Amino acid sequence: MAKPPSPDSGHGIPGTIQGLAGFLPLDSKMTAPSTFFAFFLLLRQGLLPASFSQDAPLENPQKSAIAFDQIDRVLLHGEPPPPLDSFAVDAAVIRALPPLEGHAQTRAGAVAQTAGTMLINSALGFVPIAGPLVAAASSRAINAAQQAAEKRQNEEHAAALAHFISAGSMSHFAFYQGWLRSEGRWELTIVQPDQHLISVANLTTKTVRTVDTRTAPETIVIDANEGRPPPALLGDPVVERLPDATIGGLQARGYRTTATIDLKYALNWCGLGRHKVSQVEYVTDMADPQAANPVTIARFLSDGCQPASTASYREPGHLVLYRSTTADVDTSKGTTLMFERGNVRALDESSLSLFSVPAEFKKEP
Amino acid sequence: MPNNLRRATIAVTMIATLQALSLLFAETIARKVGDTLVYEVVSQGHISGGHPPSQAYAPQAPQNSSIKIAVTSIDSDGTALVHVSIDHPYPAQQLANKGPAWVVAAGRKGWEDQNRYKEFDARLTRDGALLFMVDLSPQEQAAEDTKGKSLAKVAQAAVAEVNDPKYQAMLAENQASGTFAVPNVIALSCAKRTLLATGDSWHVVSKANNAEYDVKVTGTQAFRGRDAVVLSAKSHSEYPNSTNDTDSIVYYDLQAHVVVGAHLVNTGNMHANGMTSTVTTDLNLKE
Repeated sequence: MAKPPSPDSGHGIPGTIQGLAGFLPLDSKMTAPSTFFAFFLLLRQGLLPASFSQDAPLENPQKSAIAFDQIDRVLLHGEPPPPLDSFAVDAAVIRALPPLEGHAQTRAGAVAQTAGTMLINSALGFVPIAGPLVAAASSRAINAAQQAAEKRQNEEHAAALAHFISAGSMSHFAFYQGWLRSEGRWELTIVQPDQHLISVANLTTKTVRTVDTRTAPETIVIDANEGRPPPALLGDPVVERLPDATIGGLQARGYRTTATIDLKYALNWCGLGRHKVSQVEYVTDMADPQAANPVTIARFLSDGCQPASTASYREPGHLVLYRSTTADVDTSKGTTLMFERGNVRALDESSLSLFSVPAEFKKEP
Repeated sequence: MPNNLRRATIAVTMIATLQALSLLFAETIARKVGDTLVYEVVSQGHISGGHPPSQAYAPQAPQNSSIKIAVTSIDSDGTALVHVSIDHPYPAQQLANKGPAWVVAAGRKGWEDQNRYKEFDARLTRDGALLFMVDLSPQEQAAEDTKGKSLAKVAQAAVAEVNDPKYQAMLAENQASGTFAVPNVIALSCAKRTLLATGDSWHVVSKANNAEYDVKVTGTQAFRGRDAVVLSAKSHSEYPNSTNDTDSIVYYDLQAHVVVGAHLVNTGNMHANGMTSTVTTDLNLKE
């Protein structure tokens, strides 16, 4: 197994995800990538700085040898966020979830079930795929009665899926001297910038695909939201310092930010129009392995609709242990997107095995 | 290599490059208010494998529709704001013998009533991508509380919901959004290329639908009276219980910056029951 670069070996920017910047282009037209697949996956999970997608310069390179687990949750219809320091309880809930199985009987049903499967995959990547696919399924029906029946069926299915979304998804992350490991529900990604390699392993089929970023085809990112007006802040936000707390054995400082934002178009989980927003963030003194990057206040307060980053907004450069952002606070339309972190631990050389795909995995071209 | 041969090689290379550049940077035909594009769409589904009811395997008749895009105004960046109308004619032949005449007549009326509402606003970029503004957020789709209501009341409410013009417009917009997903991938990614040549390939990450595509220029050909670049776009997604593949051919007019045709094949396979669902869609710009 190869070793990661030493902190002073001159390979990119050592010891941090910042090292990715050495080979992952920063503008929307990628020139020398990648299985951008892995990169985008990480971006989706909010671990890469939003600057990767916003063309902002990276800052605060830091050495990191750290691992943690992260639970991402989407709470709909006014469901309140969990209290602080409930990572262990929430993790137990996720472990206890039954597998989601499809029982498609009809063509439309098959579409909906596929949608359901996709929802499980994507909702936690913060894409509200339920809506579009429910609609697509319904649109195949012949008449209003059939459409109505299918709409109900799909809504019931979506409601069942909401349980999974609410419980959340567990991911495991590790950073060591510029290497990055991300393990989700069924996928493991290992990024080794110094070797120009990205490996994506399918944990279900036990296969792995490794891409040399120097020889992979050009990757182009397209965004149908380009050119649209960004979220706007109405009035001044109010920032309230919350009492210090202990989360997972770590001391954390808390902040609550409240404001109203205006969306000129629907932003994933939120409809267009005005939304009263409340964001609670707890940070530690530990360094965040991702670079801090500037995000406008209106944008980070839109995290309840579509997250911009998991970096700290209140104390840039510090590791966030808990953040919940609720749009339409105290209403039945309330939508909360949140993440909480636990099992935060330091890594050393004995942890290097984390950064290799198990030998029994079959290699794909 | 002799000097004259080297010069000739350089000259040929430069000419080829200039030709390619001229293709890519050909003067865009500016859109203007009142311009109209009409796409004809034919879609057909097919199911195989698995254990659904036998009627699910029956060949399904193609569904025809047309998408009319009318420019209503132009943004400062050249993006056209457009009004989109979808006409999905009643499939009279397909449904002719599906019940008593009065049932068929009622069905036809309902169909045609709904058809009137299939229109919405969107944006057509300079590169020919049709971008949608549909609000699919869960906040807009909260189901009605059915507690304490009779079945009949619930059914009436459900039918009223789907007959709501707003709901029908949303369905239509979502349907068009799906139809244009791959053509948009082509239009938006070609816009970010500096050169296009047969054999070129690239990878596209679409933030719009959270999907990735491998795109390749397979050649050029005359297509419905236009010089079109032919591109293939493939995607593969894996989920715990299923896979989904798209395999498409898109014909793109670089001069007019418009997608002139597409053959889109979407295949979904469910591991649990072995059922495969294939939907083929052909999209053609009507001249």
